[in-house]
Amino acid sequence: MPEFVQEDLAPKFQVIVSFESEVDLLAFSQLVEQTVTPNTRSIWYPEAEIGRYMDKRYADQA
Amino acid sequence: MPIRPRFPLYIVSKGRWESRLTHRALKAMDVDHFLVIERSEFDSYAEVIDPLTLVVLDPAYQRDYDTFDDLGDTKSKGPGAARNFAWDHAIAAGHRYHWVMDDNINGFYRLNHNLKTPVATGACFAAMEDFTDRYDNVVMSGPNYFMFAARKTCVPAFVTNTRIYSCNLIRNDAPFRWRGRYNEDTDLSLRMLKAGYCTVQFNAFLQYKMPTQTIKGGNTADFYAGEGTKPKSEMLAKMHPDLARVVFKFDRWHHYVDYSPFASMRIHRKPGVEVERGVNNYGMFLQQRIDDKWVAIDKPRSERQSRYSEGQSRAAG
Repeated sequence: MPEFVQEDLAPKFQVIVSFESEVDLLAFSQLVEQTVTPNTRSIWYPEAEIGRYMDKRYADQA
Repeated sequence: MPIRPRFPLYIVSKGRWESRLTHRALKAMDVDHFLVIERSEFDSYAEVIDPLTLVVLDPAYQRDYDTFDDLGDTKSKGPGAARNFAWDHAIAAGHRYHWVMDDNINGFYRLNHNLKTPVATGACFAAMEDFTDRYDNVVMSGPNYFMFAARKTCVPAFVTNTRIYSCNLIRNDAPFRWRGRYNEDTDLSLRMLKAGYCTVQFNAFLQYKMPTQTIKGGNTADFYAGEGTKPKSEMLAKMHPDLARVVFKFDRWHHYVDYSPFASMRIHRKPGVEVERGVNNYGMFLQQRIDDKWVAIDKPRSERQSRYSEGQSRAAG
């Protein structure tokens, strides 16, 4: 079979962080240096890199 | 020489000569294939596809098809009749296996290094064929759906004894045929499993099938647009009352199937088959588009993974 390397990249820990106000949310956003808005459901720390696949392919020739 | 599938591929298509997604995907991968179509749509397909790839469905297959209900010709019989025709077409040509695919597959992918990467070569089909052909009790296999293989989870390269859907590699001497107006994939998988055969679903290779009811043509116009998904689920529960039941979730009717009775069945390698140790990539090379050119790369680089490792090192002291 072709190579198949698949690691467990699921989060090892998750916490719920609560904010009293949008100002606090903004402060948190600046603290972790990531965009966090009222619509944000979760983030990674360190910030996750999005695995982009559309600029990659498996083809016949190197 | 590029590696290509050994067995014939059939796309069963109806009313989708404009979108023809699976045809486009296979053409881009340089994989020869047939389209099984109805006579009344030949001209429409022939306008946009090489007529030599078109195979006209023998109406006898529709007339004699087991719909598993008493509704006769009052509604569409679904793709099963054309799939049976493809099966016999492959046998008549002397093949031991055949592929049969839905006509709304947008592309094929390889899952490796936690990334679902598009495959631009037919070598992926050859790899699945070789694997399947090693086992004497595996009669059907195929790639999992793109959305069902979690990228960040440690899924295995393949799982056994579950439903194979939308893109099926079938052993031609398997003593079965398609039946039913809907859920034919699940029904065929269950009948094979109940008879003691095994199925293999690959996570190493994936298909991106457009979600049900999003592309016009196919069963969308015939079934779902008018009656929703409930009759579809009810038919499966009627076919397999011991394993299937109808459930309502995510705002529509679904079916739930229990595959656990088949979990202990093991795939059995054919006597005398030796598998070479190590990796065989079937001539597939990973490439990345850089400055408008495809450049070979070793593996996808993950900035986060390296940063994560650095963080772990720092935490460790």
